[in-house]
Amino acid sequence: MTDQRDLDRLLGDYFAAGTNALADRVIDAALDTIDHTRQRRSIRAPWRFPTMTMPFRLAAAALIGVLAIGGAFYLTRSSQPSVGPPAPSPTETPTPTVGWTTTGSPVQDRGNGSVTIRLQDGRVLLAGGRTADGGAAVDSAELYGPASHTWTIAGKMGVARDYPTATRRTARCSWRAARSTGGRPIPRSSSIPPQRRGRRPDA
Amino acid sequence: MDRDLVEQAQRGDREAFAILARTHGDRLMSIAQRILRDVGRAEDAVQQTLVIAWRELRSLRNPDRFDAWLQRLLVNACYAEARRTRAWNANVRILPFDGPGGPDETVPVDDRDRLDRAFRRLPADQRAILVFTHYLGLTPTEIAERLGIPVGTARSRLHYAHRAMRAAIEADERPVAVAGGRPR
Repeated sequence: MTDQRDLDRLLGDYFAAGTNALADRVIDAALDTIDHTRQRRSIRAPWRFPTMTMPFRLAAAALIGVLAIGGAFYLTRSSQPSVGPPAPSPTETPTPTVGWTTTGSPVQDRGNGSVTIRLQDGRVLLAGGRTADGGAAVDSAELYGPASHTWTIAGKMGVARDYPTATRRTARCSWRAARSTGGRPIPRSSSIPPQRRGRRPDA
Repeated sequence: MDRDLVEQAQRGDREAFAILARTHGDRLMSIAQRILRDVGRAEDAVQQTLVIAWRELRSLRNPDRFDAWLQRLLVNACYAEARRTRAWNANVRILPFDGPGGPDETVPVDDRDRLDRAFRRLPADQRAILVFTHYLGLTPTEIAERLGIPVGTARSRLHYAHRAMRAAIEADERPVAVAGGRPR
């Protein structure tokens, strides 16, 4: 068994032999290269950084990690809407947020130019517009019942209107036409009192 | 003197750096040759070290530590040189070292051959630790400071290097002859 002292002596003698002089040509070659080499400007780190003890290194690493994760979390949160859905007005019935569902078809086929408005009791009024083939204006109005998912005739406006406007009132619903079938403006307005709106589809 | 020369070289004085290179060149060569066990590769490592030293000289904070800083650069250059020639070493039969300094008469030829074979099988970082320990006479603490590694790492590398060298010596069927004439 080779003990440490013998090994030290063997290695000491082993390393004693060898080259101890550097040839001039090597230094000359290095200096020739240096003539064409620019010194690099150094960016020096803080003095104390390399001498930080392991606990300080771990603490610094933990702090950096917390800041990085917190920053990423903050940025992720800030990219989302900062406010939730608008709170319902105390005077209005809150509208349930549901997806789209297929309802029954209106009684009369309509093309473009109709008006649709939601009444205070939840029903939907559809009025005016042109026939499905884009021809004459129509004077009918229909009501949609959200409970029954059906449309019912609400009566006639008296004047055929396309592109009418509608205004929701407390007691009655009125609308004004933008133009008549012939393209002439209609100065009159129409309204439906509650007792003449016809049978309620949900009734 | 070195400090003034280093400071002048840091300001871009090539003449000052040339004096430093000629002053420290022999020492660098002796270390590199003992780590790499090849004169040509050692010369390449020293030349590379001098070029890197010039380029990075401004990053040296304390000019008084120029020698230690230069040795660290040299060891890194030796690592690179060893990596570059690893494949070559794997395919070439290694002959016993017989450098310009001549064979060492204090170590019997058989022992020297066994040591040489075992040393060449070591990784470059363990070779460097052995050279710094047994040639420069540094302690693991001094080696760690000089090479910029933890003291534990220096001790560990030295331990494994010693174990590998001892195993190589004892692998021979004949008993090892240490200086002093133990029968072989």
